[in-house]
Amino acid sequence: MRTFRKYLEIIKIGVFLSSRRLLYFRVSTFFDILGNTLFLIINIVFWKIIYTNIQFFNGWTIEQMYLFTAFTEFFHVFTKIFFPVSGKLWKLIYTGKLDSYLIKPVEPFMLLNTLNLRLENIFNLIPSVLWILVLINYYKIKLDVLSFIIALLFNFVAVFVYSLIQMSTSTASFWFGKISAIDELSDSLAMLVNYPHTIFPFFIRIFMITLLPFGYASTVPAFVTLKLKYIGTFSALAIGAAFTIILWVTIFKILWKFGIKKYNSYGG
Amino acid sequence: MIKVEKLTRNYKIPNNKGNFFVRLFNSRYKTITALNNVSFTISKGEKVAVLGLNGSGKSTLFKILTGIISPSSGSCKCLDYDPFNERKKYVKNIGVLFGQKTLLIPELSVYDCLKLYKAVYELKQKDIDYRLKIFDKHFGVEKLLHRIVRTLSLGERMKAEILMATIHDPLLFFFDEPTIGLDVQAKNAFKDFLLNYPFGSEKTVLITTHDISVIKEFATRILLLNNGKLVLDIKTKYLKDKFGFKKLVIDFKREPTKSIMENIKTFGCPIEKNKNKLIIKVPVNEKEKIETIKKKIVTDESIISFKVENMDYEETINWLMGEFYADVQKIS
Repeated sequence: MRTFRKYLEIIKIGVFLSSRRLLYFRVSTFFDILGNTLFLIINIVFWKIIYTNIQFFNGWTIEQMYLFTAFTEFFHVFTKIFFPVSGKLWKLIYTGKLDSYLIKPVEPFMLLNTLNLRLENIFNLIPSVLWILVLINYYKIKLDVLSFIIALLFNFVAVFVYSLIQMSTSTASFWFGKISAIDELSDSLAMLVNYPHTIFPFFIRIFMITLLPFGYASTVPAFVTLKLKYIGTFSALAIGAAFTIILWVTIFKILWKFGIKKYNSYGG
Repeated sequence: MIKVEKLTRNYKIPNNKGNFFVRLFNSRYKTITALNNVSFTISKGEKVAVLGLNGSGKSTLFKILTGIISPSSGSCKCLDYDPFNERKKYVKNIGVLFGQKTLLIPELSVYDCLKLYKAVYELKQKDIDYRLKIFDKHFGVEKLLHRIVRTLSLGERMKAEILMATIHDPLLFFFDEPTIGLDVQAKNAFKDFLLNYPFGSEKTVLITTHDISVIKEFATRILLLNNGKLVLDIKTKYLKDKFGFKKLVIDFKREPTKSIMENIKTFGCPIEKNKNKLIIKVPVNEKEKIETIKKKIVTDESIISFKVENMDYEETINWLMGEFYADVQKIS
């Protein structure tokens, strides 16, 4: 309970820090929103072109695909808000900046993520939310609040586990030093959320909701929101999500435990 | 308080010698020993200066004692904790200041940084207020509290760093070259802190620094490291009696003659000549030579006076870090 309260206090500081950054970097935030809007538009145009001469793509209508696109955006924006530096953990290890975190009575990775919350990126959700409103009003997609919230929770599971994957790959720096290539590898993995997983064979889809979290980023949320069935029942998906979280928390904890023993620090 | 036994730390580093293509496909490593079988005990309240040239193992020792890295072998207990394996519990009780690793967040005000530390160390507001009051009394930090960190001058920043490192009232302090690369103002801010903070007999301090005046005015004990080995462990009050030179200062009416110089040189002691003055540095452990030298040249009518002086503190430390160090290196 005490630890929980302590971390809650640290998160409050993280939120405060984030609001400070927003004040400093207003122009940058504005351009970020513009960039995100552009990315969303390109995605929409891409699917519009694909659907020019077809009504269904792999069983999806264009409206459903648009909804999928919105969740893809949610995934990227949530990652930017909550875990923007998870993939950069290796830099702390490589440069020895981890020392400043290790001399505090908290988990370094927890402190790193909290102090780097980027709540200012919440404004990047504006284009996706507007797009969903368009889908509801113009394309007449029926959304109920509960399904949408559950879909967002699945989406957040993907974001959280993705950060664990990034931190796990970052621990390679304990053994191999500079590993920017692995950083890029985990960035590339995130591309997997941009395509509906129904295009994959069955076993890969299972893989994406058990061993990897990317099924939960946009495909599962789109199915849940539309009240369609994806692979198994809702409970199966929930168990799969819990399993993925436990699996990656365990993997990260083990890698960290062994890695930190190899830590050499750097500089005087 | 601190008990270190046979502490050794090895690093595996890439061996850059050899053919490029061989190294490309078969990376080679060599092991270097940064700390070699170091043992010592530090009691509560001691103020210890850890000295040594660059690469002598000072920072490695500090990193082990602060729980940042694990030792390769040997054991170390600080405040009854194993620093590495009980890191989270242990670091609550220590204050650490690294010269080149900041504890502050540039975008926040000093007070906001304090809030973070309050959360991290689970401090009560009344404790923070109390410690701030003490700190303000000595160093006037009140006016810094609401300034954004990145707008602080180096001296102000140093005060803020110290505030962060001490706000949880630690029992054990580690200062690893805290003033390296700083300007005079910032160095003075740190020195002020060191000499005026109420460490008392309760707080133990370990410091590595190249600033001799800090060692002179603050340290009660010196640990000297060389190539990872502890080569000297001495209380500073015994330093001048056991190490360095006695200075035999001889004033002449005119420049000393060649024959006198030749005579003195036979004793094998370092000589400094300054016009009509000769300073003969006689090692403390050979101080009986002073009388012999005197007897040998006292008949010379050009001598006005003999004086025996002790090396001052700074000279002793410089000697420790210079000639003594060179001797140790030769032996090791």
